[in-house]
Amino acid sequence: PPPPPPYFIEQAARGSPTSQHGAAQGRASRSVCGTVAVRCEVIGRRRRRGAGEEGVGCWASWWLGQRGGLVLIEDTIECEGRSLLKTFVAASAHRGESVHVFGFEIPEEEFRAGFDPDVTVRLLYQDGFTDPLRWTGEAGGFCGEEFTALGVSGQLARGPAGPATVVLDSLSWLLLRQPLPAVCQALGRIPMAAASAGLRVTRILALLHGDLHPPGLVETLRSLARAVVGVGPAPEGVGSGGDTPRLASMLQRKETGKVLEKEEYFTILAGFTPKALGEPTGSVPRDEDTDPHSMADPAANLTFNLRLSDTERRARDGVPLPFHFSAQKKSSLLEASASAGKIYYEPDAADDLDEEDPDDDLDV
Amino acid sequence: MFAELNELLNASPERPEQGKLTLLRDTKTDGSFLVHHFLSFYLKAGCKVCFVALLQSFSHYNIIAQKLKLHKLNVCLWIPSLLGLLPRGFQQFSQGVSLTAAKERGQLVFLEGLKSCFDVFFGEEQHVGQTNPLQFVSKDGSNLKTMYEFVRTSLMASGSDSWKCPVLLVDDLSVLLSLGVRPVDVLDFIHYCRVAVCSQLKGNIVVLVHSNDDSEDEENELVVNSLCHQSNLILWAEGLATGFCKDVHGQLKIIQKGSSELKAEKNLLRIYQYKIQDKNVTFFARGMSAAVL
Repeated sequence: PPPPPPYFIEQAARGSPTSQHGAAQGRASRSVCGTVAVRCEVIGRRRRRGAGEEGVGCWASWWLGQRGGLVLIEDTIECEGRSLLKTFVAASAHRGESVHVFGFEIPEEEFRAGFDPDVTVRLLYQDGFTDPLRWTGEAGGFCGEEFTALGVSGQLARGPAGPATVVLDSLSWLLLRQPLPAVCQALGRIPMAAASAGLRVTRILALLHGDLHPPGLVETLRSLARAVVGVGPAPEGVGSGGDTPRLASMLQRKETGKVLEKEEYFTILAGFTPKALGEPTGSVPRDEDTDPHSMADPAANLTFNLRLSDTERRARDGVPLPFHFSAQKKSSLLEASASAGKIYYEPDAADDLDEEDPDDDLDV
Repeated sequence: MFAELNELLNASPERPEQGKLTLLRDTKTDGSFLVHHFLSFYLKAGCKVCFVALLQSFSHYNIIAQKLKLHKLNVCLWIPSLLGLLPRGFQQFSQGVSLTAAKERGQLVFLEGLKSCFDVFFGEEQHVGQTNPLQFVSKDGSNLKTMYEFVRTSLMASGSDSWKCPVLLVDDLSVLLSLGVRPVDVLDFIHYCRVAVCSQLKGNIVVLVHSNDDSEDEENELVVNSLCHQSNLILWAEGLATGFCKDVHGQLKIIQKGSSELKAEKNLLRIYQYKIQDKNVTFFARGMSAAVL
């Protein structure tokens, strides 16, 4: 199991499967370091999949059908994640939920572009792009400082009643300007604050730019989230020519505590419908696994023989080491003879000892 | 402006794009030739340009802008142009741009950072209502709101103007970080400029930043990465990994970000190498330098 993150949030959501309106309540949690206390209450209920679900595609709905909580979409410079965020927005709208978008990074018309009319009807945009810091004093916008649980639920209350999805585009914008504990507390309290105003927040979708923050912060948010989707570019050759294939690494945390990880190639078609392109095959060899055995045999492919047969190997093993005192050596050393040094030679099996003097036939 | 770079970017002064943020980025080399390119490009296109020049003086940019001429005219076009048979626009095309003339006719608003900084500390008392855009250097230290307001007022269309889309050019943002501005405040400034220039006035923004792959300057990397997420086009000039070369001065990566408006699109990455000459920059595919062929 992964080590506990620095801000430890404990949530236990138990819904009874038999009741239609089972509300899951979370216990108050305490943090390990004692400075942050976040209470997460997940209010959800099981509902049957409606008829409108088939149009979304089973790829997205298998894990959009989860209970609420924070869903994090993490992207990088190489591969943007906003199109995936818009896919989930379209899916939520098709399920009949009203979608409240708090947009800080792109103008409203750019966010609304590309959606079907039945999606844009359910989209309520809070404009945090035009004047988030109150420099120009334009009215009607959403200020960055207003992002608290009460501020958000106040905006939600202006929308229609019923299930609502909160979308943050992007969470990185908020994290650069507000301290992390405040943002985490706000994220945790939004469903509760909305419930006290009579609304039901099914999930919070947030876009996070992973390369703008230190890794510890990203890990903290990942541990807060119910599901995390990391988006990256897919290798060449996946999908057909017109698509833009991408790789999604999904991590889902169930209420039972089980963690599911899955990787899948996907692309996004016009109208923000997802299309699954299969899973990456695990047989792509990594660099460390290139055959080590072929490297360790330098005696192969030579024009001369470097190998030893068994008898040769045994003969080699039987050779006494230079510093090994055999009886002969000991006696010769002890003698300390004045005569010329003696040579002790022990021939092995391959030696061809010929006592004859080879220079005998020289006519000198 | 460099004709070869226009061809690579598929851009032409007759039809400049609108509402785009272009990021110029350089690593281990000097990417200011791109700034000169875009300055003369937009002035030739007839756009109103607000140039926040924090790095060099006005005369520096003026001298270089005058040098950038299309000196390689075809011979068959040269003689008719001498005789005045070609349309007048073509003749203007073949000359350099004079920044002084552009400033006088109101096409160019030039904020000379080096002089304004000096005025903040040693200048005479400002009149009421006239704040120096670089006021943050002495007072707040980090709030770029006055600079944003300067940009906005200079690019607002007044009644008598007949210029095309407004353009903001910044050279460069890393200087602001060195002056003590926090990275989030730099990002806020660019955010508000995007709101005013790109989305409300349908203009363009071109920004230069320095970056280093293994740099320890986290604030600079935060600004650069954040701008990479927001920009539509990234031109990344890098020095060669193997060091200095007489014939190839560097490598230019052109990254066209796919828009996520209608559906997911891929980023297009192209890499070229370049050589900077006295009045021109030549671009060629990697390994195809004229000295090698």
